[in-house]
Amino acid sequence: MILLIEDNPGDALIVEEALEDGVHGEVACIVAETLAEGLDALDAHDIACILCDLGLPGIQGTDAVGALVDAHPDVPVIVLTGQRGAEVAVAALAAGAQDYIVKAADLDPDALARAIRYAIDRHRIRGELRRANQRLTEFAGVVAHDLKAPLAGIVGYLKLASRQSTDETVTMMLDRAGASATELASIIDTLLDFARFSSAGVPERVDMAALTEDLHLAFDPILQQHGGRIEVSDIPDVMADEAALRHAMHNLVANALKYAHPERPPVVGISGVLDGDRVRVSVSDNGVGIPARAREQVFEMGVQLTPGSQGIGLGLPSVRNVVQANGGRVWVEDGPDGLGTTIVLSLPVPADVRISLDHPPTHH
Amino acid sequence: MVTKEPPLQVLLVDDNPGDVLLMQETFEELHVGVEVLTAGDGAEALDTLARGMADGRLPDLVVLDLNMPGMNGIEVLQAVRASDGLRHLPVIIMTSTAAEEEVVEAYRHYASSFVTKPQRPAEMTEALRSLDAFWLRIAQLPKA
Repeated sequence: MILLIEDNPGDALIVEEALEDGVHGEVACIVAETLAEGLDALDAHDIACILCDLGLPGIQGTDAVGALVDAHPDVPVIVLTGQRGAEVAVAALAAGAQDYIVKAADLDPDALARAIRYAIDRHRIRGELRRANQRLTEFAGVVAHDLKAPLAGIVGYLKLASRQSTDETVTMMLDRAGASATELASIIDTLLDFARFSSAGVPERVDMAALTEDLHLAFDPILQQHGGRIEVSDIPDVMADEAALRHAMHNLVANALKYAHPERPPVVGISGVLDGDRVRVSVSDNGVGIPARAREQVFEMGVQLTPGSQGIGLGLPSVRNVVQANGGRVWVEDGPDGLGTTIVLSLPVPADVRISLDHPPTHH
Repeated sequence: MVTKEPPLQVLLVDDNPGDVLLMQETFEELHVGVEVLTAGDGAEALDTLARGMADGRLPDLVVLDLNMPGMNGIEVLQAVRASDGLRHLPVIIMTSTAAEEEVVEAYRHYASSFVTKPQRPAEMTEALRSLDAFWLRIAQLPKA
């Protein structure tokens, strides 16, 4: 069943007729005149797709789309707009709509039916992909966990054998084997960590002011010990899994410290700016930096820039997974004044921030 | 004899004596020269830290079990962060479950890091190796 939310009876009729022709009467359509009525209908009926007018009275179009997507993320939304509504339609896509259709007297029934079919398919595929990703992450977690037990045995017996061996060469070989096995165990640990924090929960609004204040309080005293400091500026809220995002941010600040320059007191900066429907959160330092050629590699698992340093990688692969699982991106830039490193996380903004951006409040 | 650099010191706080012993041995094996102090509960940990403050010799790293009878790990962490003389200490919270709420709770109380307590002895080496490599290296940065 299709839900049409349209306050103008004439427009509703055009769409209903086109729909009837396009789907040859195979799909029923119910009409709601307001968003509230539409939300009620969504609760009461099994709706396959929503057609929503962007010009509903009393509510911004993107706001309406946001409310529908929030209430029923499993139902695709196609927005309907007048001839001149292209810009608003694009904003609606950013707000979570699948597609937009321009209302006109000669609305093509086939095009409408096609748009609905595609929207439903795309939505279904996206859901399946998300579930498949989740299964894959769970699988990685299970495998890593199961690998650990036999490996612990290998490490233990190699150590035991090395202790009992009287042949120097054999002892050396056993110790090397032991070191390799231990290294493998550390890689598996990283994989477990990765699986744990990649399976991000449902994104929620994260209070970035609270998060950065906590980071400041956790790290500034440590930095001061070494003559450094952490500088935090206002960051707009983001949508993310809070536990995973906090873990990632802690990893980033700790990394900034771990790779501090031996001759410069460590200064870590945390800042954020709005960039369309994203927030770019930057964690910068004045440390040893990451060479340009390695800036993609650092996000690969198992890459470690300082040969011989312990631990595996920078924790950046799990940071990237956290960010990607929350619909964001992460990359490396130069640090301030060309010294050190800046890690940039681009994360989605909550719907209300997005709407106030699209439609700055007007005062009369 | 006066050494130029005193050995790094780690304070392990855990109510399970088996875990404490295992962590202690693992630490000492991983880092010859790292001095490991232990405390069996939160109150003992704060006593040790208070003594350290009085002597002008605080540990470089505190590893804190979250679930302890009496004062739990978060309460100890709160006390550390509330103290002018202690709040610069890197504190790592350890739990065996790592539930999401625990992670958020630890970070909300200014934990430096969070790790899952390994279930098997052999895993302890790796867990400690990854966390101490990190924090002990930071302790070795030049002081202000």
